[in-house]
Amino acid sequence: MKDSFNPSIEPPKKTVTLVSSDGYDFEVEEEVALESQVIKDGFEDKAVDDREYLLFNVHSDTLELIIKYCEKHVSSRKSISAAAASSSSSNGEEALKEWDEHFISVDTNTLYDILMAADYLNIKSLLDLAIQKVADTIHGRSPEQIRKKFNIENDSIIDPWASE
Amino acid sequence: MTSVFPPDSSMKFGGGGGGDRFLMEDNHYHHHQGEPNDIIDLLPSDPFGMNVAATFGAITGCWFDYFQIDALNSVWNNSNNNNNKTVMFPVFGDIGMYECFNNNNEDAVGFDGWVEKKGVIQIQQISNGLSPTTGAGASNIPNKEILEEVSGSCSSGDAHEALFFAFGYMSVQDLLNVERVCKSFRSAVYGDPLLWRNICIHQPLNERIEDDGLVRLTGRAQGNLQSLSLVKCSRVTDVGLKCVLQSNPRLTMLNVPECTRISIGGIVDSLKALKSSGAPGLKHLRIGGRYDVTHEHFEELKALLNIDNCVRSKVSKPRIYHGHSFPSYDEDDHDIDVEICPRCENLRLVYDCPVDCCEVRQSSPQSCRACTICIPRCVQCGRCVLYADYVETFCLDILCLKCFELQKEERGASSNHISLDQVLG
Repeated sequence: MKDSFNPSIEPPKKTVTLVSSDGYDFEVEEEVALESQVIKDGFEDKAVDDREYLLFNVHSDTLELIIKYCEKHVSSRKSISAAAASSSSSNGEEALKEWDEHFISVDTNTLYDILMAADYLNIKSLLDLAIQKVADTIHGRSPEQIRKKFNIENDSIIDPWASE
Repeated sequence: MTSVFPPDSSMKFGGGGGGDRFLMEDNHYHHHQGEPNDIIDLLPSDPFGMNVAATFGAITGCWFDYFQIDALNSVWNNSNNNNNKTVMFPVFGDIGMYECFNNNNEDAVGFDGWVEKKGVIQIQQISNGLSPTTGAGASNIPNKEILEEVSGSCSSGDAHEALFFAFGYMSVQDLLNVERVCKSFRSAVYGDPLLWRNICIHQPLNERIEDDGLVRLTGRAQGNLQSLSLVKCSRVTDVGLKCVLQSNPRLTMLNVPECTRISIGGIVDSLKALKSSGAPGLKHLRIGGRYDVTHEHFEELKALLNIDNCVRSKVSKPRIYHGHSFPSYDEDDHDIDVEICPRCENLRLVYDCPVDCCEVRQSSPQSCRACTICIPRCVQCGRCVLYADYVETFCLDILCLKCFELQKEERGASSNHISLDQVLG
């Protein structure tokens, strides 16, 4: 298991239930769910047995990816800090960056979904990652290529003499 | 008020530029078609079987059809009906910024990838629309891909809201492209002064931008401009810089390396004007690579930037020479980049030596600090070559033997790759 390096300090696992917009339940570890700032805010005020979140804006396909991302980040953060504590050299951050890069290499619609979900759940690192991916995709493209890539209709019939 | 130029002058500017361009095409056309009848009669009509006359006729005929229409509005309507609207758009002077980067004839004549490309696409589209067979004669292979994309954009919709997040992560060049995609992008990009707080203009925009364009572009920040970087903007003058500084009192960083039409006197004057208007003034100034800075200028600049002589001695990161690119803000934390060279006492960019075992440095640690004229340095690694062997390249750059060997190896390894790129590029 990913956190087997120091099981004695670990508290017993608490879980949170996330419900996707299409009605699927996802049971995740508390710390994974807490990657979302929205869930983190006001988390302590909620009763322990009432920790169920209905995510109206997140489809189950997207939620699965988001959970995968959060789990990966929680576990690699642990392994990085463990490596730092034992002062053994590790390229954990490099590896995580690579993983992120691979994770976000998805089709445009999935990227939209991830971005909107990350915004909705306020997961800053994932939001940054997704936005950067969109910006990189747009970078260096002509307006026509951008329209083509993102399937946007050209409605910019603007009076050319309109002064700025 | 964001722009200092009267609105109608900018209108005339864009329109006039376009008109000149078309006129030129006009003359060009007549030169081929009308005047030299005798010569053309002597030549075979179409020696390579390219159906040239028909192609030119199709193109130029159509150009005139469009250009001679009095109101441009009808152009938009026409092109809209023909589904050619996307292609007609850029060359006619466009909305907003695009036009002021294309307002000179040089661009229209060609030799400039960006503009020329647009022109070619347009010709292709028109000729394709009129007569597909003759259009093939005029088409260029590299544009095929773009053409397909153009024709493929028929089934499309609105921009996804996720895309709007990305604007804050984009460079000026990308933003200018994005705002021409659709109305919603344009209003989002154009209406958000925060996107324009940090403006950096480099290749390929820098060769095109003039005072007018720069003032309008920086005007989008609505006075909130924080940093301005003009890398080799050879058309921007002192007047333009002064206008920008006057309307953007919050500017704290200015970077104008190799802007040949901005003089050191102009910079000093602009900064004085900025300071006297009660603005907090610049914190960082980069004027790299100019040789006309005098000691008086330097003293004035130091006073304007509030640089105290005693604070000056704070420990700065060593500055390493990297050929012709100037150090960025991250690499170089000096408030002002030029300083007095310890050897020649001129105002230059002074570099440190990256090599610990440098022979000059061993005698005294400070003695290897100097401008590149006093101590020649390798363009790759920046080490001094005073007492080391070096190679002079074709461009008169200096390479230390180590870097030369490295480069030779790399070139050997990637020679196939390079040649392929050159063929494609």
